[in-house]
Amino acid sequence: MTDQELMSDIQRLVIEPADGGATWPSLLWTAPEVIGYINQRQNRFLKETACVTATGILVWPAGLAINDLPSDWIGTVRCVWRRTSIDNAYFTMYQGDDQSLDWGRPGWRSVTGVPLVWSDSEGAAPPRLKIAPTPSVDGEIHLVYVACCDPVDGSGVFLTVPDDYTVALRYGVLADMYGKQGRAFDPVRAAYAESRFVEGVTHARTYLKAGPHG
Amino acid sequence: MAYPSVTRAQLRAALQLRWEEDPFWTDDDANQALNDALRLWSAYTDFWWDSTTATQPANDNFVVTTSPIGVQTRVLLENVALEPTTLSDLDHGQNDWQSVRGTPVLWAPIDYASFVVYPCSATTLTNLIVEGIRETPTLTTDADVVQLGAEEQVAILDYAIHAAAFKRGASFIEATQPHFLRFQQACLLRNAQLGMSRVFQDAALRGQKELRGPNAIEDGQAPS
Repeated sequence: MTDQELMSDIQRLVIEPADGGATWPSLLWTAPEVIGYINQRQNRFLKETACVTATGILVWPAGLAINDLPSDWIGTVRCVWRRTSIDNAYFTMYQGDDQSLDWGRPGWRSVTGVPLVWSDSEGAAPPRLKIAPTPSVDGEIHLVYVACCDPVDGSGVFLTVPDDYTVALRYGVLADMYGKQGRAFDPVRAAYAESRFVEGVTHARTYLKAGPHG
Repeated sequence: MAYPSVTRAQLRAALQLRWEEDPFWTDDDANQALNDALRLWSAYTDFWWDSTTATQPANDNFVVTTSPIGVQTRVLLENVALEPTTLSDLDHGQNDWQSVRGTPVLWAPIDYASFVVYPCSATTLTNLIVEGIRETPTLTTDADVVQLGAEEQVAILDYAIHAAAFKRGASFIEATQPHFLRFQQACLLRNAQLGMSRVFQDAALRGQKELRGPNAIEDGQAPS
């Protein structure tokens, strides 16, 4: 589904002419505003469900503890250390943080070896990945991560969220639209729409967590 | 007898009978509500299945599926089903599993369009068969056909009524909640796995309660 199709669907539900999001004659919302809501909700859906992921490789020299994550990163799913300088072996890593290392591995800051724990820092700009212990040899970090969506701009860009979940995405956008303070404010419809967005997120997460089904 | 199929025009006509041809809803509104219902029905019940071939690149565990499969549910190699597992189990069960080479025996989903196989082949495998949920058929013209039995059509119409009510505000959303509930219960009957979700647990409980009828104790109205 494209962004224009989604915006036409939204326009029909908020009683605007369905023209692919080009005009909003009620003046309750503007096109850039709705496009912004779509991008935010897409990223939120992707991050919360990890239903669409990307892979990446970070080249990691010996002695380095912190490295920049890919520029489109919004969440880490899996991190594996590959010891490319010796035998190309892969080592499973676990998500953790400084505190868990302080408790579980006293003195870890001065130890080098095979990286075992990773943590990502969302607040940092750019977002960074920290690993411990610091690698003693050169290697690579193989990432499976959630990338931010292809930004929509109302020009017919395909949505990143899978088609079957565009219904949930649309409700997320409607929750933002009716939750806007002002003449458009409709707390009941905003709450209902939010609950339908959460329903979609929950369903997608349940399916991925449950593994193969049939 | 062939499995019943229905056109968009027939589904819309049935929907419009249910809302008494209220002029507030246009044909476009009805079409949108019906496509919404089909999307959710597909996502919640794995209703439309298909299969496609996928390629495992040489020495690479990661395989990407393409259209028409939306969600992969089964992977076969030379007509033998690979055993399903999870990426987490592979990571925690065997260090360095990605370095092992051989004929794939396990597969694990990563997301909706990709999965890993274990072990991976040292040569390119082009004969993996992936079965899964097909991308939902979208009805774009009145003549477009979708395969749905009569009982499924009822569920689709139930959801479409509820989806279209959003346009008219809170009271209509509330008034059409029973339709939504029936849709959820129909999904639950088709896919028991939905019972893991709180949303569908609530729908199931409410369905059971409707069957039992009013109960003063359950409803908190028992005399003290």
